[in-house]
Amino acid sequence: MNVRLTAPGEAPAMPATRTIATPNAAVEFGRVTKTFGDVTAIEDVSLRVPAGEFTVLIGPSGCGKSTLLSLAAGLEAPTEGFVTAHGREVTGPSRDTALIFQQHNLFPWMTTEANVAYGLRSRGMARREALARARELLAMVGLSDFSKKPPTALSGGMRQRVALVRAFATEPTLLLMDEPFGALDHQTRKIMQAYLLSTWRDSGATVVMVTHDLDEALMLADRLVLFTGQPGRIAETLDIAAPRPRSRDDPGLREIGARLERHLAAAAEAAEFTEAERARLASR
Amino acid sequence: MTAQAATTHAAPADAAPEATAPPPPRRAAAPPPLSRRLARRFATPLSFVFAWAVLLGLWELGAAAGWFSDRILPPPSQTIPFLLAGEATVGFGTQRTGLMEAISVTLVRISVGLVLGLVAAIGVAFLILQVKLLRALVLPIVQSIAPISPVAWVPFAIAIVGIGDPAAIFVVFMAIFGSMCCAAVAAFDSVPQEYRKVARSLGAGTAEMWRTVLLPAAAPSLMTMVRMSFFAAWMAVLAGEMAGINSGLGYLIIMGQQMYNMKLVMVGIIAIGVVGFALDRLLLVAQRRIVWWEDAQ
Repeated sequence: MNVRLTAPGEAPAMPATRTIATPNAAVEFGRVTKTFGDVTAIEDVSLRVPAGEFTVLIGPSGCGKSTLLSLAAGLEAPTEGFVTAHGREVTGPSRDTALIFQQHNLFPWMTTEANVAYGLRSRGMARREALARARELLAMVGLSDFSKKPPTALSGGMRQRVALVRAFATEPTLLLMDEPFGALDHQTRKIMQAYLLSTWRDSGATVVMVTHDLDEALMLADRLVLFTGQPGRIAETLDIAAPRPRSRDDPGLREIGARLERHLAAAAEAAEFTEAERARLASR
Repeated sequence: MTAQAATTHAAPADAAPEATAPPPPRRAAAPPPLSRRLARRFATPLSFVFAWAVLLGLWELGAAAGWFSDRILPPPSQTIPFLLAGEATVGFGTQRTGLMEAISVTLVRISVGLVLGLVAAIGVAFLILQVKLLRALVLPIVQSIAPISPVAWVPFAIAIVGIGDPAAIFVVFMAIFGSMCCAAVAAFDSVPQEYRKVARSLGAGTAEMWRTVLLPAAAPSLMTMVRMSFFAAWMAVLAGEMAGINSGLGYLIIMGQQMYNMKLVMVGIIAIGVVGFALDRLLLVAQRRIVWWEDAQ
């Protein structure tokens, strides 16, 4: 049994035995609710992210996935419940946590190497040393020639690669990614996924990634967490044990994919149309 | 349910690392056609000279043909010799001051007022962003000061610091501080949240955040703001000099009016136009150097 499914009814909380069995959670959300004004972004979410695993959060837009990342990063505080990282409550941004967004967010006023060196400099490394290390890291991803260039001189895929290198430069134990490849074309995205997997395996970091892309989720995840909106709740958690590199033709993955597809389609429809509109569409 | 344990179909395109030959950088696009490049290079200076030549030619013609009085609108053939002969002066004896002094007096006032205003505006904007209470207490006042006409400050300025440089600098400062401060707050506010999040998660503290993220990210807007304020400062200082601060280019023009010496007025206007245009170009060059990653217009 490589693929373990949790029945939809079993969610949202993980089974108690599992909770005890994995004390080495990199991130834990305990009955977290987060509201922004009148809007409840996520409601009563409990989730353990085991250390060293690749967890993918997937669900319709507006289901609070990104909010969960902000909470784990310490950029937001939960309205109710608690968030811990490595057993300690998250109270603010941590040096062990790195963030990657859909936009690469490289600083255009710095050279590529200065961007990569930024986190090292923030940690008190001397300028020359940090830049030398940055060049080393860029060389490892084949971007030596671009270290002195501004990010504007790079292609979309290269920029996102530099953003990954910048995030990994400080050797974070937790990497939070918010649709990191959403802005890339299909081919570049596949290349970046392969690159991410190899970097992640070497680093031993815990990855939590938010994506809309079901295919991406199936290719990358050790564990898939399916959300419903709005407010965001966990609908289902499932482990995918198929070894990597995975094939899109794997029948087990395809079966999960088809089922998740139906779930996401229903959730998207629920988010896009009102009750009345759905009734009207159905009556036609 | 069982998925194949080792589904290593090894889809090569998926797993292969990006080819060593990188895609060409975005900036290195094919150059535009020669005609366009020539146009871009020469159109501005050439059309600049041409447009002025046409206007001055018509002016000269109009004066010669008697369409308007050359005593009210002295044509270039009168104004330029007047300028070159160094006759554009006001006052007598030791009080006599020429065009160059008037220009330098006015420029010093503008520059000092502009620098003070910029420093104060960024300083106050910094406090407004850092301290929530100050946003509520100080920003409304700054916003109320911004639309007040600089000339309205002249009586205060003269009463407090007398006529002369300090009064003029005060007027320039009051003219630009409010709008500059509002613009600076807006510029810092509009720095993308993601930049801050990334910097914070990479370990930047408050001072580092300002130095390495907020200031550079806002720099393009701040530089545009300085150039706009430069125009406002020109207008403010001239208005002030016409309204009682008795020296500088504004004073030169108002004396021309009072002595019915339209050539003097014309010379003053030419000086304002030429110096203002030249300095704006200089600021543009500075802007392109400072915010090299942006395409300044």
